[in-house]
Amino acid sequence: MIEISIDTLIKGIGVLSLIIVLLCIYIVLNGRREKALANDVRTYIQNKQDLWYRYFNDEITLPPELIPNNNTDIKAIEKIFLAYTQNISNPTIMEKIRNFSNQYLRQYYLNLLMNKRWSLRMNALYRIISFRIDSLADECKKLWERAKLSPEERFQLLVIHSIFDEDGFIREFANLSIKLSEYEYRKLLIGFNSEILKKLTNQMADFPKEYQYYFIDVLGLRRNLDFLPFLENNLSHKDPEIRIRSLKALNEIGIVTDLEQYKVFLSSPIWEERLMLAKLLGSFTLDQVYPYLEQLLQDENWWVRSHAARSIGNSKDGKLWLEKFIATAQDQYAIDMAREVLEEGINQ
Amino acid sequence: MSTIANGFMKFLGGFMLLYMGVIIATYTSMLIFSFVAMFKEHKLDKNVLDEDYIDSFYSKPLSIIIPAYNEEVGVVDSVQSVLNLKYPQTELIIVNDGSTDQTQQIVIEQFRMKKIPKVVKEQIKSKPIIQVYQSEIHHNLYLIEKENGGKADALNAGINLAKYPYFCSIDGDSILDEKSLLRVMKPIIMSNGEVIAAGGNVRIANGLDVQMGSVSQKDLPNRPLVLMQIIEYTRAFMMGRISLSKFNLVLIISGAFSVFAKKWAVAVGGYSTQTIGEDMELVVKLHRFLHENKIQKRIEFVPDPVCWTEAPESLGVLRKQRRRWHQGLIESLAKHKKMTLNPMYGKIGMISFPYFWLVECFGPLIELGGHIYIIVAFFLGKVYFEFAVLLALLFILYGSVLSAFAILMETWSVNVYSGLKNFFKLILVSLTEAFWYRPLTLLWRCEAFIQVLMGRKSWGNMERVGLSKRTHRKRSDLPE
Repeated sequence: MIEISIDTLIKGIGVLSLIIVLLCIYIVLNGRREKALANDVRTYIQNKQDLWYRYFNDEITLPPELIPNNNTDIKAIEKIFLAYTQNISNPTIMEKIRNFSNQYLRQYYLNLLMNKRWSLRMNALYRIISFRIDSLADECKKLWERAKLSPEERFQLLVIHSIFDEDGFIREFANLSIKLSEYEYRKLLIGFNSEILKKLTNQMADFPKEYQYYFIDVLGLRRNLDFLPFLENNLSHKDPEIRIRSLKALNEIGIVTDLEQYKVFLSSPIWEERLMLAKLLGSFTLDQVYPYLEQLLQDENWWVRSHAARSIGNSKDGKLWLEKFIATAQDQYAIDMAREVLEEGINQ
Repeated sequence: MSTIANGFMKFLGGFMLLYMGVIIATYTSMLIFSFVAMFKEHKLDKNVLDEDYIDSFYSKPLSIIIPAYNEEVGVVDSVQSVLNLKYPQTELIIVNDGSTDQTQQIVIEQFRMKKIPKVVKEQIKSKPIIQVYQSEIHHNLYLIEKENGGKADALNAGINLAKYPYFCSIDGDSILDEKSLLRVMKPIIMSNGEVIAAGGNVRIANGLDVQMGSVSQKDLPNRPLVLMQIIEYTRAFMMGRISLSKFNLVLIISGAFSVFAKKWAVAVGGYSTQTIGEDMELVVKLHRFLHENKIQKRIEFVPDPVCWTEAPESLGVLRKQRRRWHQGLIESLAKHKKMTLNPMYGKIGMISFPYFWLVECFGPLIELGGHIYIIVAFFLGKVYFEFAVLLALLFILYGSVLSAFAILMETWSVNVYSGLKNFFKLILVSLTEAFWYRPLTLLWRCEAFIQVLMGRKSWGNMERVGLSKRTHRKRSDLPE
């Protein structure tokens, strides 16, 4: 029995060695092919980038030699377009890229979109978004109907839907059929202009809880004053998370008008609310808010103390106030914190 | 020979064959799983995603902690390389763990550090912090001066100072690829916080020209010992971790380069100062904590973010390193032995632990036994001779053929060491593994058992010495 096994094993190792040799040959050939392709792409870019530049800058109309003849050309054009879309936000150039892609690259990306390989389909979806290839919008819709789709593809298709059919997308937004991560949700929202976000504030109550939180975060990051009333309105919301996020968003916007409506958070049992307040009070002058910040500087929570000290330290004449505090206060923790901010002297 | 001895030899031979059969089947399936995972992402344009992450809007701020003990030679370079990383919002904390050389002075002078009276919230116990410094040139660069307490203790002090929700630990002599941080954070950001720790791919940079975090092309060194380690790392990362990560079974992410959510690391008490392998220990503690509290989280390995590190070039240093890694492994497994085959710990208890015990921990003992068996059997006559040949062939299959496949897969997918010359060098050397390198590492790892039995107390001291020796500080992996 063992003799047979040895024999089999030797044969097995022989076969595996042969496979290794064959794979080596494949890798060598494949490496050469890829190198050649990369060279061709480089040559194309070197030769044609000036022509593209002149075309994009309206110096010439589209010369026939820029129309791609093969996949190498397309790969090179892809690289040139990406360099423009990622680094320059010029509507005229974007429009030219869109038109060109719709006309000459559509078929190429359609083939990729229908490819069996997930990675190639994903690349096609990325490019449809980057180059705004709206002539493929219908194909994307059809793809959405497919039962077997990876979550990544579904998300990219959703982004495409949001770009090419804004109104339709807003109508469906409150009832999104797929679950998105915070990253994905934010990425979707960041694509919208402030007008649309404003429309969405009216629908926010209908969003699932988590999405409401992300939505408020995005409003803060937009730093748009138009959202102030909406955010301030949320300060009395019954969900503490909504209140905390709204405080955070208001802090991001950095402009606070009515001090009275924030005072209630001074005695909040939730330390995150006191923390956000400590940050937010930094937007006022110390004459107006010092007593509150002093109270927060002696808070039981380390983070609240830390941010209260920074809010004081970063204000005009904050250093003087901190020195005065150190000289008179009793609370050693608060004194240490004040001293740290005082001597650090660097905005954090 | 007596019948009893005869029966014993046969039983032993049978056992070895069975064991090797199981191991080879395990590794082959790991190789297949990894291939499937890599094939899926092959040709995917990852630059689009990188562009997304660079926007700080989507990213989460990160504290980078570099523990340093007598690193006067390399510390400035490694800090420079970290300062050059592409990541929107970071702070960098160098922890001088009571160095006795000029580490501290060099950092202070080079980066114009000045004392600040920082109040550090002690979330994890660590040896006292003497002073905190902040750079006048880079406001996000801090230096902690503390009493010597070992690498784990230094990391804990760094975590205490860190103000961001994630921290990344990097060895003082490691160099990160420019986009490493973005990519290692990707699963954390995409998963909505479900991934609480992620480890990157560690590669050996001996002989390559690494400057400012990027590697310019160069021939790999000719030393077989270094080449063999390159193959070992490649195999461990390409096939071991990718497949373990796919099923959330990862027990080790490299201490040389990993990211953790601070909240959870603090919840389990940070790095353990009592064990040698503090990186593995933290991951095991996290898994244990998550299961005991019924929290659904993941720990992942990310294949493409690369961290470059230097490997030992002499047998003596390599031997110490391997012995130490294996001690760390035994210790962590022993400390958490109640997780083994305990359904309460899910897949970690039912699959990871048995796998690590049987294959990674006791594997070297059994394999070494196999090697001795082969030698003895050759002298004992025909019956055992066949057993021996069979076993030797299995060792070749295991040691050499699988390594060659791992190198093939690496070249096909990520191709870190590009160039045909490098590729053939690696393939050829990988085929020799079973004949010299494998037996050597087996011996060293078995020595760890002797050290464990001799007494644990000396380890604590070694920990402090270890921090000074760069070669002791990088744990590659154990699936081999």
